[in-house]
Amino acid sequence: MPRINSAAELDALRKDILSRKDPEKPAIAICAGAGCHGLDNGAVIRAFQEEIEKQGLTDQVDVRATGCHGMCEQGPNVAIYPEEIYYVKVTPEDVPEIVKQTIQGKSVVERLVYTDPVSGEKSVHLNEIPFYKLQRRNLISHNTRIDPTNIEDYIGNGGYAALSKALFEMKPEDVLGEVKKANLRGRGGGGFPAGLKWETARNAPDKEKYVIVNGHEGEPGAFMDRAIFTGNPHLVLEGLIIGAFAIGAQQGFIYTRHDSKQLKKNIDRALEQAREYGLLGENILGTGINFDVEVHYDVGIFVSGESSALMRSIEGKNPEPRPKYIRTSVHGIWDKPSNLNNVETWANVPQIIEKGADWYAGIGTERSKGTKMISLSGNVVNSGVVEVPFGTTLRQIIYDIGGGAPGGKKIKAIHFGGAMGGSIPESLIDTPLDFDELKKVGAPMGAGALMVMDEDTNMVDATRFFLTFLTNESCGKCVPCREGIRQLLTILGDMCDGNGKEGDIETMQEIAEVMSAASLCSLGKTATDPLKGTLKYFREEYEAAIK
Amino acid sequence: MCTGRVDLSFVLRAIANGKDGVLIGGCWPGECHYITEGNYLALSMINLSRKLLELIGLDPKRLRLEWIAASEGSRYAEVMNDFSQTVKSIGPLGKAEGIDEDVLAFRLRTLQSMIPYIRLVERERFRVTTKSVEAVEGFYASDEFATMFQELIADKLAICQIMDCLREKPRSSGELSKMLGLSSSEISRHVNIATRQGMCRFDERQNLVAAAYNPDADESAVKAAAEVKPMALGNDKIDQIIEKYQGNPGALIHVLMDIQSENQWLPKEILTLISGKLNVPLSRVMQISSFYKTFSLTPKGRHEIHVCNGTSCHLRGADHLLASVQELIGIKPGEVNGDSKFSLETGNCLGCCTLGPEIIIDGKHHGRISPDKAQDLLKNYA
Repeated sequence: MPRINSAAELDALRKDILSRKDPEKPAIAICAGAGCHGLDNGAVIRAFQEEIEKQGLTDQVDVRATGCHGMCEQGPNVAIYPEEIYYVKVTPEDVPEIVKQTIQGKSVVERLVYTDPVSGEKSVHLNEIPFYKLQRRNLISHNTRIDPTNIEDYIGNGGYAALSKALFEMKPEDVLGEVKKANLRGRGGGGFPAGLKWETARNAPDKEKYVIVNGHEGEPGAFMDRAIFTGNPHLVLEGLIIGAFAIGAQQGFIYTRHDSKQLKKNIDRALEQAREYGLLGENILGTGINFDVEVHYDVGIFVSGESSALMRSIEGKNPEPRPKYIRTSVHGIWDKPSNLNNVETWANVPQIIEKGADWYAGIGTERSKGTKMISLSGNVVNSGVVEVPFGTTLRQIIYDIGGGAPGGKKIKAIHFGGAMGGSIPESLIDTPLDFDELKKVGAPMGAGALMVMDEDTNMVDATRFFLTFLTNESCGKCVPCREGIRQLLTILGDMCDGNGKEGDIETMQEIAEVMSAASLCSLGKTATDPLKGTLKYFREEYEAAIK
Repeated sequence: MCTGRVDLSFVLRAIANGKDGVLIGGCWPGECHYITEGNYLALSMINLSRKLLELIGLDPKRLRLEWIAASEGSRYAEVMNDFSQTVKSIGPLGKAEGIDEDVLAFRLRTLQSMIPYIRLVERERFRVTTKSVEAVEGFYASDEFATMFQELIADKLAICQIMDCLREKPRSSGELSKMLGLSSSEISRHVNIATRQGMCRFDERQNLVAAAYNPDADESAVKAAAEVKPMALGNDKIDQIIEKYQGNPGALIHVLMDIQSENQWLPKEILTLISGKLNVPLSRVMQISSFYKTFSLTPKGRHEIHVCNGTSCHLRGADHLLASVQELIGIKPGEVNGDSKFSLETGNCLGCCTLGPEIIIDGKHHGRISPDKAQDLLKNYA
């Protein structure tokens, strides 16, 4: 493939890709996301490939291993195009039947379609399944339609149009203006307006600037970033290149998980293809703009997801955070201005540029715009990746989409934001999904890991669990965090073993306050959030542990 | 002579010479003719020595301290009669406890070689400054002492014993477990420490451990030990990996990561090599490799078991699964079992939260594993 040198050539390529594609040609999209991987989707993919070959259909049917579809609970999932018939819990034994009935016979294999566990209603197509129907899948819906290892799939699906628009029709400041106007807020946890961050980095005096994708996703229970990054790496990359253009960066970094082979492979492949097509590297799309990306890995430690720690890690050092008054947007990697955003934040950029800030700002609530991907798991019937507009209530997410707790159990608490998040009682389930509203009730969204806890959960034990995680992950640089968590754990351990004493709660509260005030980075500052939250809403469980 | 002059080495020498019991008699506490009050030191030494005898499997009643003043002739006779009665009833040294003669000799030899160290620990950690029998006895009965004794003496003795066995010839951890009567979990823990400190080398292909330094070895032993080395050592790939990143300022992490994925763990020998080749101080290589969790400074088994302990898996019962796996393979997280078949780790969320509780073996995910399903799953691994 010769490289693309102008907007017109990109359009021509897209037309060419589409003309080569018959929209009526059947395609089998098998989920190869993390969840389905654990359910041995590899065997299903192989079975489809073998069966298609056996039936001599290789030229007539596309088989693709795609990124996460979302409904991990029912995996391995298979979507059959063009009808978008959706089969769940597919085993290799089902494959010949699917090929015979659906691909060749154009009929539906009834026993494999999703059946609602309550009403018993069957949903044949993807968009009829309640789990998918009630979402608004601006970002993740592409996952089923493209092969993440093929850039042409992405381009054919409208990919890189936003980049071309930004580079040829807009000035960097216009791009920045759109992102600011869209009020895109950072999806990594802080909810800080991305536009403002970009502007700071853009205005920083140093000529050499960096942009970074934070794909660390170390928060336990969060898996939406890897779903989009594995399933649609070009979407994130396109956002990053647009950001680099707006900020004036010539070097980008991707910092991501080392433990997912598929993710590594897809990112490397995406970068390679983007370079080959002239979308990355020198003279992007013939504009004379140079920008390239380097991949770094997290090497298995949670605190390296913190922005300043992450930058130390890219420099090849220990990931120890720095005080926040030194802005990484001005003094980041090797002391150069470095703009870091989360995977999902970058993934939102192309649609803002393509469809405009006004369209984007029309989705969501007053202060939180767009859609948010949520990793729904814990004691819930339909766990998986959910994408909904801001403003959707937690009830809708947990009951209407997630199907409530399994076994008809009552939900006791909803935990948001991983180990440093907060738990709120079921009574607050009508709170809308919104950065500020959730923070107000004590369950800051974090990266978006929503954990449902049923009535059997012991909240004191759950708090101990989170703190155990954090004590292992604290970098140990500052004392309040390192020692504070240790002391809290000793007290909580005693409580869980039935040795709680009068005054324990007060001691814990005092330690928690000191930690929040004196720790250097947000790990220490918010490590006690689960404790504070559970003390606020589930104090009786702590009291019971003392008596 | 003052009872305070009786050193640990005297007691152990008597036992090593085959004596069935040792009695130390001396002035009553508080009645010292001088101001040394050495009898409190004797009390401390006796308490410690009894623990040591117990540690190597001997009956601590073989050792006794009695307060007998010079004027108490009849008491002396009483005590002597009673003690000889006790020793008789215990039986001959070693045999009565069911320990083979050469095993006992081996254990005593190792313990005796540790005497200077034990003296130091006693002086720095176990010395009770209050001159009272209750205070000394109370300290030696406390949990605090028990923890310190385990960490500072028992664990060290085990490592010394392991190293003594290894100086004879390289052995597998299963053999060590049999020879020393320790569980494979304990052996693994000690070998991990010794490997990290560079005292021994672990060869994952042959499942053998060898002493890294052995001044008294003859030629054949030196030769045998030299055959035992980490797989990655002398492997061209290491050079290739380092070559690939030459000149990159952040290269250290990448190099370590690539070697880790090549070799599954980072032996000290390799770290030294990297330090030299990249011209990075070994202290910094150690800092990085001990900080990041993915880097393992200890050996792995042929099959790496990883039990997810993310929030979702925890809520769905990951701790029961872990307990069941631990029981099945007999080791705790961070350890390798006797035949190096399995190593066990717990880990943070891998993002397959919908499949909890989850177990990952050699990188392959197995979702929704209840504790009773673990056995069937592990059967598939040879």
